Amino acid sequence: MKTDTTRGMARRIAVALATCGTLMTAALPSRAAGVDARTTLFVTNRDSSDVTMIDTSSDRIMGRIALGERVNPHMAMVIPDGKRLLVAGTRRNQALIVDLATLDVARRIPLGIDPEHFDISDDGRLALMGNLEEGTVSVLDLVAGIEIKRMGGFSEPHGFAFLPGGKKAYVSNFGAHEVAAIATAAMETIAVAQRFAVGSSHMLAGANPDRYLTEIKGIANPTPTLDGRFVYAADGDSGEIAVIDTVTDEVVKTIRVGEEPWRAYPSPDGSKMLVPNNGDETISVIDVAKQTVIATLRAGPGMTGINFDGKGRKAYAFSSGEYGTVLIYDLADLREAGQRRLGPNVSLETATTTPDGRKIYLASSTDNSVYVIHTASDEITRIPNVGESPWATTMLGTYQYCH
Amino acid sequence: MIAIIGLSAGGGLAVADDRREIKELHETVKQLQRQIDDLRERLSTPSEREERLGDEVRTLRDELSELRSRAMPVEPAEEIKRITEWVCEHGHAFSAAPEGGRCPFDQTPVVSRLEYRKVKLDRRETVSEKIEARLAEEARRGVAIGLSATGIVQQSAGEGHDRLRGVGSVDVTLLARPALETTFFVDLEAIGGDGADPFLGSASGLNADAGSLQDSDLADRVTLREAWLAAAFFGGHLSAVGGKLDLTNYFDRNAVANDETHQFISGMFVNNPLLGQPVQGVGHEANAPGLYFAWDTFRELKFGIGAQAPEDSGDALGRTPFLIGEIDYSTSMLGGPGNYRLWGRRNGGDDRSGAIGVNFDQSVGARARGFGRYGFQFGGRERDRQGWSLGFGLQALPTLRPRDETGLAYGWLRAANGRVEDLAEIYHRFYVSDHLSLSLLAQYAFHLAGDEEIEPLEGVFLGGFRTQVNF
Repeated sequence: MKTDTTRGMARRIAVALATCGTLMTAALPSRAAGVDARTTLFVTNRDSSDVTMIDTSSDRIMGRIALGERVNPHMAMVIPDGKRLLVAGTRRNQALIVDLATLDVARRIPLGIDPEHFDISDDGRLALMGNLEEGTVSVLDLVAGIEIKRMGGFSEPHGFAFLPGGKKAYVSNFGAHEVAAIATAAMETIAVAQRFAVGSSHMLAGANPDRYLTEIKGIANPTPTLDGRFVYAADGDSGEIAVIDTVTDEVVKTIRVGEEPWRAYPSPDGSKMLVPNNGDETISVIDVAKQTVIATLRAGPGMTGINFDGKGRKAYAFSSGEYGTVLIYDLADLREAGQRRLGPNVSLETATTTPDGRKIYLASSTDNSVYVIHTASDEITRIPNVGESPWATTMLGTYQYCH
Repeated sequence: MIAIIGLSAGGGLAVADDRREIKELHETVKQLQRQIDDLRERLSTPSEREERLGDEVRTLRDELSELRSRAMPVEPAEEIKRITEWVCEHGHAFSAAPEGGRCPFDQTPVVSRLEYRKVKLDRRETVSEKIEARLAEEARRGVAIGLSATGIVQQSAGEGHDRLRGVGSVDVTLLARPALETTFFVDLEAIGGDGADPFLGSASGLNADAGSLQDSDLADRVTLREAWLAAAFFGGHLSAVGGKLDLTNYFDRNAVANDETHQFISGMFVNNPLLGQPVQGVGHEANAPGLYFAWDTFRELKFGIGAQAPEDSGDALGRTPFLIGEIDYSTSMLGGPGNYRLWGRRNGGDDRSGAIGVNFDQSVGARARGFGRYGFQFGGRERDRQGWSLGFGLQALPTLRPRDETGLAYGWLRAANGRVEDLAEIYHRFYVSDHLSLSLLAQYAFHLAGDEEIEPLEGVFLGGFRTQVNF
């Protein structure tokens, strides 16, 4: 018994030290032995089932991390401790945790069908990952590296956002005009707390049911304001944005924007939300304080993301029409500031702005490249042969999105 | 003393017994500990049967995971990739740059180039996604067909002018992309009905969609309204269009008042009457061979120039053309986009008049958008004419109908015969579906200028109903 007691004590001390270590590293990300997550860009390659690492100081490819056959990774995020990378392995129905010290897959967590998008709480404790084809959301304990719960009742759960502090998260349904609030304060009681109906597409559907029986363009993503006070949810079918008060958990305003809005992107200072509208090829600029549209800017087709320079003076929207095009906007004067064409048959996916705001790395799936936008000059360089179908990009300490 | 020794010896024997007993107990405890450890080890070590079962469970779990991951069709997806390759002088190709930038076989210089390659991708893709992608590809490569039909009935009211008139028009449009950033467009049109203008004598037109193209025996004719080829250059900054054109598609455009099939029906609120058409007429007769060039700065400014033959004939190309130029300024204020335009034109043919005009549309908040036009004509046969219009459009006036639109406008014109024509119009367009809308129209002409055959009129009311189908 004495031996057992000693073992038990040792285990408790080890767990306490490990937990303490996790919290400490969460507070202050440290350099891993393998790669420095603060200066490395990670790019998921959907069709070569690996992750490419790019050194952002030299823009050279440092190497590729194999994820396994037919994983088809979609989205990736550096876990806030800076030592691990969480990847959605869409085709193998897995979440993968990559150890950035050894550059190996340390954990494969079986999930539901078609996991694509997710978000991680800012303490690195939890992740919510949507199993798109199954209509479920997996709750992942990132400390233990296990799925602790799978919640049903979603319709193409597509977008995820934890509020600062990690006690609440929002999930959007792309196959419905609905957003769910998830209570995540305690692991054992994680559950859907509220459901919010967004937009007035039900009125449009009344006159034209055929249109909505064949296709629904619901809500791609719930986007919190930077202070976490409100969540903006854009409904593709109605062209409206619901503003959800995260304290009272109610829709406090509905804002009409353009046709087929994709989602909202917050400016670095948090004062504006930019919403690309793929139907009428415009961008709506919303004043967060007034909750009104203050500008509508000409844009392009097939927009999948908006990034900003470090100071939030310029916005860059990525359009994949006949030409892959970077559209540039002056946010101070709310006007167009030019555009750069990257080439025909170039399908632009997602992008990451470096923490210093000097570069934006943009994945392009059809030419296996990552484009680097130098925000001071708006010059663009290309890193070719990154992998097969580069899709999502991520760095530690940056604003993260996927599509 | 002896007693003491005896006691002491007795005590020593007792101590020895105790020690022996303790030792035996200690041995017993050790034995028990060993037995417990043995039992614990046996308990923690699975039996062969348990191990077999565990293996079977693991195998089944792996197989289930594999089956689930393969549940979607495994036929590979196909995609054309734009790849970079490095090619030596004598054709040796590499997927990465050879060291030193030299061909490893013959040391010739290596150049990188972009190439296209079809690749098979082992990707989860549902059958419906494959079908959707194939249809999109076919649509991109093939000819896109558009169909638009507008039916309008108008009842005029006024002394001696109570008449009901109907107008119907059908447009079939074809759009194809013969090369990268190149568009070929054809518009075939048939119109039946002249509307109220022939008996009310409006100078600006009370129904901009009217103008029968029927033969004298009332047989419907389909005519070629537009046929042009457009291309973009310099990263899309320069666009060029050539062919049989409707120049009003490029000049004097307006977000609120520019389309008689969806917005205001009065000609005064479709284009500035002083914009002047190089060719007088409707349908195919209104358009003629021409060219249009535009330079888009992709900032606030856009510049356009256009030229058009004075009549719809190949023989007219050598004659003095209709010339027009415009500067567009786009801005964002008052909660939405604003567009401000300045244009100038000079007629060719017999009428050498010139005109300048301004035009704006400006959003005010989320649901309202104002517009205005002013034009001044000089030279030619019709000197010093002016015209202006003002109005606004509202979105979702009935809050329960978010896609309905309402418009109200007033316009004033000094007509060619020197008389004044001014009128107001209000419409409400009901959104029924993405392909169908219905509009209620009301026009009140304070003054109609009349023409050589019809006396000027005052106080004429027209009520109308419009149906618009669009695919």
